[in-house]
Amino acid sequence: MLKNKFYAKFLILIGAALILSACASTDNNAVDDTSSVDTSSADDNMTAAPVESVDVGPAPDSQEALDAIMGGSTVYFAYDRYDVDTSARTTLQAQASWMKSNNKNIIIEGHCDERGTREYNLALGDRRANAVKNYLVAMGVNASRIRTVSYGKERPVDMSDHAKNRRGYSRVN
Amino acid sequence: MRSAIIISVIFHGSVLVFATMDIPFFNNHDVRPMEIIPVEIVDISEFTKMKKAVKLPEPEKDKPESPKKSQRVVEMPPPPPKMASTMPLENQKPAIKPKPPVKKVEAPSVTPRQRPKVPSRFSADRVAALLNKIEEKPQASELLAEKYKQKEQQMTSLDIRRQTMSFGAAIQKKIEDNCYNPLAGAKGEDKENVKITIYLSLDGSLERPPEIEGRNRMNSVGQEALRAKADRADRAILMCAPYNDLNLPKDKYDLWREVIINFRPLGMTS
Amino acid sequence: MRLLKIFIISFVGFISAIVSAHAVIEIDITRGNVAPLPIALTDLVGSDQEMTSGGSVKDIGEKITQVVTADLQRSGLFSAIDPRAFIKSDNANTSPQFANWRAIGAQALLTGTASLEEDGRVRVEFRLWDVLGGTQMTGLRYFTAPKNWRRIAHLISDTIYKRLTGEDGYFDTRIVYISESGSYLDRIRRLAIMDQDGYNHKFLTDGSYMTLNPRFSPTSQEITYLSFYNDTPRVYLFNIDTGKSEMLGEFAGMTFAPRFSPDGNKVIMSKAERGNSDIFVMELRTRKITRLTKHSAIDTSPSYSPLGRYITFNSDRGGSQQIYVMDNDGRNIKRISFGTGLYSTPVWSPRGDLIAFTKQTGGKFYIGVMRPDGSGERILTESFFEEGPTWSPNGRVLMFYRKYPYDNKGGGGDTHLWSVDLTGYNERQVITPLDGSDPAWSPLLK
Repeated sequence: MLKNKFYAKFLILIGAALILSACASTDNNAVDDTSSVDTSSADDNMTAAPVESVDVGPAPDSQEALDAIMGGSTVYFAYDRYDVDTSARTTLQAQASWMKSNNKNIIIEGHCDERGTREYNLALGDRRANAVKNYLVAMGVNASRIRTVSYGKERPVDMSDHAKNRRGYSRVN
Repeated sequence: MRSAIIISVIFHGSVLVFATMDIPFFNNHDVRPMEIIPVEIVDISEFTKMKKAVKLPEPEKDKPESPKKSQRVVEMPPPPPKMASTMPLENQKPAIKPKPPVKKVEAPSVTPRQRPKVPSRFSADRVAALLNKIEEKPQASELLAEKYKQKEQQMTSLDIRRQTMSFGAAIQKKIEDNCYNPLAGAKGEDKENVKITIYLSLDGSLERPPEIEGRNRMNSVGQEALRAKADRADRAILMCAPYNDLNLPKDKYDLWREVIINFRPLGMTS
Repeated sequence: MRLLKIFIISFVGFISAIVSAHAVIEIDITRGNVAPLPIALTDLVGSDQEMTSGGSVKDIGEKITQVVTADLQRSGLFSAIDPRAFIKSDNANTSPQFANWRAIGAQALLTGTASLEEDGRVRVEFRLWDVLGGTQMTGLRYFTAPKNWRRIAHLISDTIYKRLTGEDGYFDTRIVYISESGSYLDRIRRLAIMDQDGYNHKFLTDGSYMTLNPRFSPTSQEITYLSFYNDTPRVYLFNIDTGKSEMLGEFAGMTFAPRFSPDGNKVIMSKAERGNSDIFVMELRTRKITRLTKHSAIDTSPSYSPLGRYITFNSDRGGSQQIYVMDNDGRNIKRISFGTGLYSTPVWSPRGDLIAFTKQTGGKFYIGVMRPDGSGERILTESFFEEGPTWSPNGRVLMFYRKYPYDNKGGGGDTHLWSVDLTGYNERQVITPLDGSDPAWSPLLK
């Protein structure tokens, strides 16, 4: 019962997210020229082009789609911690829903900031990746669909904002 | 004349025996004042000194010249001893002069090695540059020498002990400040110590190479660290020689002729 | 009368002997001025008529002296006297004019020759002299192919170093490390190897996958390291002679932080499974793996004591990262670090008397050492970020890596290798072609 409610909620959320992302995506990850079928982004005062070319956004089971769900594909951790906090939980719930509606496997990357030794951070990254995995599995995702890998502190995404580097990233395999 | 010598020498000798017997007491704390003894000890050094030492009280500031000085001095006729310390024993003075036969016995142990330590082909500038550091420090011993010169007449064995310690302190200070270069952080540097005995000539130079206790043992495999440590100690002693800048009083030669130096550097974590 | 004379002589002699025996000053020297030992290193003399593929024998002799000079100078324990001060009067085959060397302040002196043998090898001979004592301390002769002159130079450096310090040298050694290139957010990390002085640099992997944590075998030409080959971090074994790599065991989780046992027969490492890292040891011959720690905390960075009886490692089992020591079977786990801050990457000194570590406190990182019982902690270096000490094989020098941030907030940064003497002096950068991290010192080459 509870589960179903969740599903419904998140399907809606995902739908909304997809729409939003479609709106926002004027970037270069557009799919091939595909005729659009009445998207809500249709512009009223467009010129009378015979074929309207509109970005539909990424395929729903793509990395881009996962990145675009509510909370995205990344969760963050406190310094030297690996517990999944409230905001991370919200994100992971969305990820779990995504996993259920898309038949894709993911690799969860565990990352750390640079304020620690290389070896300890490899272990910490592994803890973080597994914390994410465990949460998703608890949310009903089949454990066999999730692989973990720790990159320690070797793959930062931000030069100096350590908080952004302490993360678990779900990568579509 | 003969009998005068005999009597004098025997008297002399017995006083010396007395003096010798007293020396072990230096380590005890019940030090009794014995006015006569120090005087005689000083006298012994006189034997060796008569040959060369002339201008003892003058502080030798100009180090590069000192070896030459001693060379020249060797040629000189023995000057009349003019020791303040001989005064209380005025009556023995004549006894000293006939002693040259005695001196001959002593001589081989000291004089043949009186070659100047610093070769004369040195350019004076270079030597001066080398010795620059050393020259800065002799005040302590100078002061001491001054101090004791004034007091010589009332010397006690305690004074001797003090003097010995002050000579030691001067040598120690010179080696520690200017010459010893321990290897910080060496494994076991603070474990086994190196004991070296040096014999100083009257001019402050080394009479012979420093004697390192257990030197042969150090050449065996596994003893490299100890050998290197001994070498460092040896280099320090050689570097610091000659010791004439310490103004070790020539009339107290016996007190500083032989020095045992223990190198026990404290560990790097000291 | 003659009798009397003898009596007198012996009497007085006796007395004076006793007196001198007793009136001996005995002093203790307990301190000194720690300073580099001034040493004069003359060019090995060779003929410029004798040609080899690598130049004339004269050139080789001079280059050998240059390398020896650089080695000894870099150690911080020697100061090479400027050759322009030398008084050129010595013939290489006779005893030196010690006075000349003493005059310029030299306490030790290197002389020698290089010449060409009929079989094309180079004959290198050297003597080390004690300038103050005026004696020869050591002298050796080598025969080698001309192209090996650099190793001969390192061997000479090692001999001089050992004779004068009493400790083994470390110049005929190599460093394996991680060469880093690319931007801070997109680093390429490759395994690389070089001589201890930075020469003969070579990349061992091509950078198509990330490598970390390299460590030398104490007994063979092998390196164990962590590779992200196939996006799967695993411990590998790399053979320097063949250039081949093999994975050490197939496990469910990540294996990392490997290190050889002192006998070279085992590799100790961390293995992470389901988010928990514990320490395991693998027998290389049988590939049998044995668990040593079993704890929900992170246990990593294991390192054997030089006799293999103990293991020190890093764990946060007490709530924060600290250093622990246990028996080699995993028993008797004891925490040894109790200072303020976090402690990690413990590495046992080859001498056995110290454990080097990384310390982190107050926004800074430090390299330090402590005794295996945790006492006597000393900090050697400090910076915004540094970690991962490795010992020179004689236990005298530590190499580590340090990050220099691009801005004052600590953002980004270049990483470089650094070395420091055990005393905390003589800190200097180790020059590498690109950035570098995770250095590991080889044993003395054989």
